[in-house]
Amino acid sequence: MMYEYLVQAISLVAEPCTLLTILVASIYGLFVGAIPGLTATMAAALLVPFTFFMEPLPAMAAIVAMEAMAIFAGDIPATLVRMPGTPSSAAYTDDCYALTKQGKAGQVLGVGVTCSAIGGLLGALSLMVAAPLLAECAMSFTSFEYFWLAVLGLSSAVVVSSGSMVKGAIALMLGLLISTVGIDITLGYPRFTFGNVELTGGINFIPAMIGLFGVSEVLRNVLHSEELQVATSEAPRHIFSGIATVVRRYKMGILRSSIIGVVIGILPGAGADIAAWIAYAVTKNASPEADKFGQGHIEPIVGATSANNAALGGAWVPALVFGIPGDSITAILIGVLMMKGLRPGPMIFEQQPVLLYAVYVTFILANILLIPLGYLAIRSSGMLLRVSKNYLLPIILLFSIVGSFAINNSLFDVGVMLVMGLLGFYLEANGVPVAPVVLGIVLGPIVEQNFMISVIKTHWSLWEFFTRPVSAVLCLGALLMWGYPLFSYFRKRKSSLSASG
Amino acid sequence: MRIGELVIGGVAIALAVFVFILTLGFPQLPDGHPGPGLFPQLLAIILAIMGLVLIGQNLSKRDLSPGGEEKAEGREEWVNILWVIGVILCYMFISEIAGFMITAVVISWVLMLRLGAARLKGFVASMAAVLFVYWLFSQVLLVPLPLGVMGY
Repeated sequence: MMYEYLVQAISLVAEPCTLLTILVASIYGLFVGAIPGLTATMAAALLVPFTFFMEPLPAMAAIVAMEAMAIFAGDIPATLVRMPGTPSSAAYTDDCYALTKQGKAGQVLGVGVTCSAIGGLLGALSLMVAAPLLAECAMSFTSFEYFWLAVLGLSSAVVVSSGSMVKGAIALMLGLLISTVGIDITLGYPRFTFGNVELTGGINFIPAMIGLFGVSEVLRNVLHSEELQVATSEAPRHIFSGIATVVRRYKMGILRSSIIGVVIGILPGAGADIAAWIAYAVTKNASPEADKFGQGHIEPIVGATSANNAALGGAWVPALVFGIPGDSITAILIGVLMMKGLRPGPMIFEQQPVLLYAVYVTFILANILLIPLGYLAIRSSGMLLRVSKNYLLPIILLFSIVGSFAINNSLFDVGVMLVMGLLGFYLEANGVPVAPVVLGIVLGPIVEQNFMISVIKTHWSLWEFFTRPVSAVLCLGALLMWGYPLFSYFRKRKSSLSASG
Repeated sequence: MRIGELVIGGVAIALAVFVFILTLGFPQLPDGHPGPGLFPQLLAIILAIMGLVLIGQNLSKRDLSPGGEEKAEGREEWVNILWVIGVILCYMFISEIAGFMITAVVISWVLMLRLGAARLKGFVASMAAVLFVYWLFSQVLLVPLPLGVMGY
């Protein structure tokens, strides 16, 4: 059976249209990832209007290929100009740049592309193993379990989000409140629409995403215009020389970091960037050469760059199994799939197994393609870094405007994009993470719907939320997550008191 | 103490109060239990609490460093932000009269010039970008872009 699915999946992915989509999305991912200031999430948000018009498989394949390429491509400017192309390369930028000054840019990027591909493949493998197992458990879930699962996902987004948890919680509440706009599910009552017909269907997800991630980044970039200082005028050479030795020497580090990447990726709210920071710290703790970290050492690059690509596969696990996104990109993906009438969850493992296998195949293909396409991107890095933002930012804005308009042919949606862009820009400028806003928008209806279904089913007896075995475990998980900030606050207070007294 | 954070805290509380007041007018379920208003009310309460905590955290930090933005941007950079907002609004209000082509070329070219692009190079780049966007959305994805009074 499995073999049959795999064969069918390969033939689906091998269709010229899907292959072409993967290739174009890959080149797009490499381009956006290699430009400092533009993130993989922004690339996903701008890809959304196109995926909206595609079949589910090419749409998912485009996102898989784009994100794998963009996360690696972030290493290119980190190495050559000391500016991470995406936040996922920030953890090891100093090491990359220090090695470039020693004339080893080619070697760094060779290690980057190879370890990214290995990490990405290990992430894909974890997805293939973990997702079906979890889906089998999730088959017995009812609205009670889905309610707690969504609460757990939202709580995790706040606890693991970058910056302060209070700010994460505010961002989450904003996202959840945005999700309540429009017709309510219990009585069909229009909430917060103020008589506007365009708002009765809710705030359109796609312009909201383009605003939060596309327009806000344009605004940020026009505010912080930075000149790039290229450390070397020559294109990196000897890219794969000595790569086998490095991989062999740090094979356990690659494995450890990839596992860290997958686990962090699975947690909602934490993605490739946090995975890279944690893998960097863990590699440093375990290394006998920790004193060389940050000064031009290859080991942290090997660890962190494997982790950030492995996190991508991890983020797809909860997204496919429970419909709960593991990071901002999978949040965008779930939003798109839901708009197309395909709700991710354990049922698609029974109803659409070929589609799932096709996603696995795409993950593997994208990470294999990463080596040749990444090589070409490294060789043409000089050209990529010369692209002027003075021309690029207005073009990104044009795509954002037309992309927002395209979904409903509505200028109102362009207005939604602008408001969300300003919101995203202001929040980020004050250290409030934007990822929980997206998670709130995606998970809000799931939390509310499952809660209301459950209480109406049980005539408002809340007991079953706590007495069903899986519900109770998930509830305990959520309680532990809520208790953690309080526990760490009191522990910090106690230690500061004992230090001062 | 960061002014931006205080503003976020204040706006969060104001938004929470506004939402809560609006939800008081929402109907209940036929059996008398809370209906459409319940979820937004819970969210508003949590948002207000978080807003208060954020303000409290900032006020208690008063004696520490002044904080604020790490980078000081010049007035010109902030004017860039207004230009971006301006061109989006311009597109929203003009595209249905002037049509997609003209509006898109003008807004992208103007923004390029504002950001420091060369005049001719900027014009060529914005023309090329608009033609590509037109082909992609209008011809491939069949999106009916605004035609304007001149029909393009």
